[in-house]
Amino acid sequence: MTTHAKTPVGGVVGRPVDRRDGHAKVTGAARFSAEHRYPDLTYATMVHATIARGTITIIDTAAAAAVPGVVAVLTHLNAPRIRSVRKGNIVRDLGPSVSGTEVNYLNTDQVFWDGQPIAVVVAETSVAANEAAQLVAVTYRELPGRVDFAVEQQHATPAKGDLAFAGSTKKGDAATAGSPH
Amino acid sequence: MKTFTYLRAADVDAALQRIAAEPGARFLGGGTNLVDLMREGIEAPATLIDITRLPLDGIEELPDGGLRIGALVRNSDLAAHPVVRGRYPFLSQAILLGATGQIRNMATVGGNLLQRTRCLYFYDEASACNKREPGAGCAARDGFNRGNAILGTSGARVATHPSDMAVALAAIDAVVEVRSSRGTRQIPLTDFHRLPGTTPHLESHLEPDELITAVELPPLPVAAHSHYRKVRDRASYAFALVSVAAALDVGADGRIADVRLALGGVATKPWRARTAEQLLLGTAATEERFATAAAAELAAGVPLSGNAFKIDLVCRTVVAVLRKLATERSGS
Amino acid sequence: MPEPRLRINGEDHEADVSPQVSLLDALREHLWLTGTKKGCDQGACGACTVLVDGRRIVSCLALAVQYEGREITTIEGVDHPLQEAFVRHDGLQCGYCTPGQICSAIGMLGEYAAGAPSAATEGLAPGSLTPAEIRERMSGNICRCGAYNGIAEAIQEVAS
Repeated sequence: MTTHAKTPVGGVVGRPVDRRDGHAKVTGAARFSAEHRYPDLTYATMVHATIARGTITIIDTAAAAAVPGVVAVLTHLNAPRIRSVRKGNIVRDLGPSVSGTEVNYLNTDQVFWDGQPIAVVVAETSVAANEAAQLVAVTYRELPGRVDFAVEQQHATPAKGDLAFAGSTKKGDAATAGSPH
Repeated sequence: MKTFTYLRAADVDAALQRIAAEPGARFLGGGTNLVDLMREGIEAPATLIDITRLPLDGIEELPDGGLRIGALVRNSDLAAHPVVRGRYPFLSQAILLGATGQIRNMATVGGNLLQRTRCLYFYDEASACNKREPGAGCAARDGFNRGNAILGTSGARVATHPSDMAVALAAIDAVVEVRSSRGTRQIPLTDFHRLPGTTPHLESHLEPDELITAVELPPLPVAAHSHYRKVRDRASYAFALVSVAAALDVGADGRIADVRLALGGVATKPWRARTAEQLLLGTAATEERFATAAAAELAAGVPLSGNAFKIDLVCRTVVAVLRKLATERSGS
Repeated sequence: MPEPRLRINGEDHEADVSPQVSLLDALREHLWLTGTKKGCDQGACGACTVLVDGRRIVSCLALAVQYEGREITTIEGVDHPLQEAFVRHDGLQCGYCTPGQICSAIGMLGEYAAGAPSAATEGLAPGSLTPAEIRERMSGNICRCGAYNGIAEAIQEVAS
């Protein structure tokens, strides 16, 4: 059993308190993001690149688009332009502390990682979206990729400083650090 | 997954006629493996024939003391059956150590035998896999193969058979009954699954138009004193790195009167350890003899870059399980 | 093939679904019973657990068409002391695994009551539902928030 503080403070701290959302969650009544019903709601499934580096030479969506219930298949050939994140943007300049990307996927035929989204299927049901996603046929011109960490480690350089964190580190000696109290 | 036609078979004969008449048709049992493979795009049958409402879900004791298990018996029901728990406890343990409560409730005995490997490269459609595409190559051989096989492998395939239940059945010398519109035949479990050889995409001797209807267990007194141990990275819900099914009878003279041994997690099919059994029969039930026998069984093992540890691990597990059985016996 | 009729929480529903639609997707997208959750869609997480004729299954691996005529119980149809126990023992945080945990636990308690052993059962003869037994029997339901202790306590309390 969880132990609780012996002297409750202010009537709440130290007492077990039921979660306000507890009842909704244990009855299935709580609605999560994908569970709000909208008219004409559609579902999207992404198609992912299966090479680490290269170019998409052919992306054939005819079979995917023909699956009943599919509304659209977006690729770099027809996706709307997305504004790229510009330099000077605080999110981008936080560097290693924020895992952002400079890849404008769906606006480029370049593949930068295995798993990069290269197409999005939109359909009336998730099943139709999934079925169509598997039918998107992609041909790549593969380029060599440096993906073996053990090999690349020797070419690594220290990261520059950024807004959130200083760029240097120090290593202490745990054995001699601190004094006994 | 791709669209398909769904049919429900009214009776066994109708099911057999249908599978013979429809090219690309497959039987659907609990679906715990097939539905997953279809969703991944690895299997794409044009027609599914649902057999789950056929009267093949009984368990009956046979006059000779054996057991006849309908192919549609759910894994959980088989594991809980009093005769299995009493006379073949390692079969019950093997089933209970596999999957989860929910999956065991859905999975059928027949489906468990036919389940396909979980090799990472089999599941990755961008990888070379001779099972998915004969002749494409085997990416596991030089890839991340920690979970792959060391026994029964060939240049074309190193994928393990993932079933725990089948390992215990191999130790028991179970017999698989299959039917087609051409008749009924029996296949010993140890002959049911194929070694990869040059045909890694063929996994069993079941013909495309055959239906597994039952599994029969012969009476086996030594099985009443048996144990199944599964060694894996997690305490539950993970496939075996190595597993051992063993049954042991030690005589009053300290010599092994009867023994059954089968291995899982290490081979391309449920592995009956006949070499080890032959070395153990009639010898003293000592750890030294257990270790010698295990080593002899694994002498033919071919380690890959990532799974050499399995050789030692399975040998030590064999010794531990036989020691446990020998100790319990002398204690009783 | 006529539309399958799914019997859910005592009510019949015509489910206009093609054969490849899982029971999970039929519940969530076609019938808007969103209490049952999609976590992994491959039988590995247990969030989609429902009861069929009182037995727990993972609905993501179940094809809806296969379950026509069966008595399906989802979290929306559950009224069980476990629900209040989960809240009282704080067996949840985000709540996404919770419906699956509760349905699975109900099924599990039924299995135990029927004398079914688990991998944690010494000698395959079930004694009491110990903490080790509960955790082994519930190993098919994962909780990313790590509320396992509260979940196990809630189940332990109701079981005794």
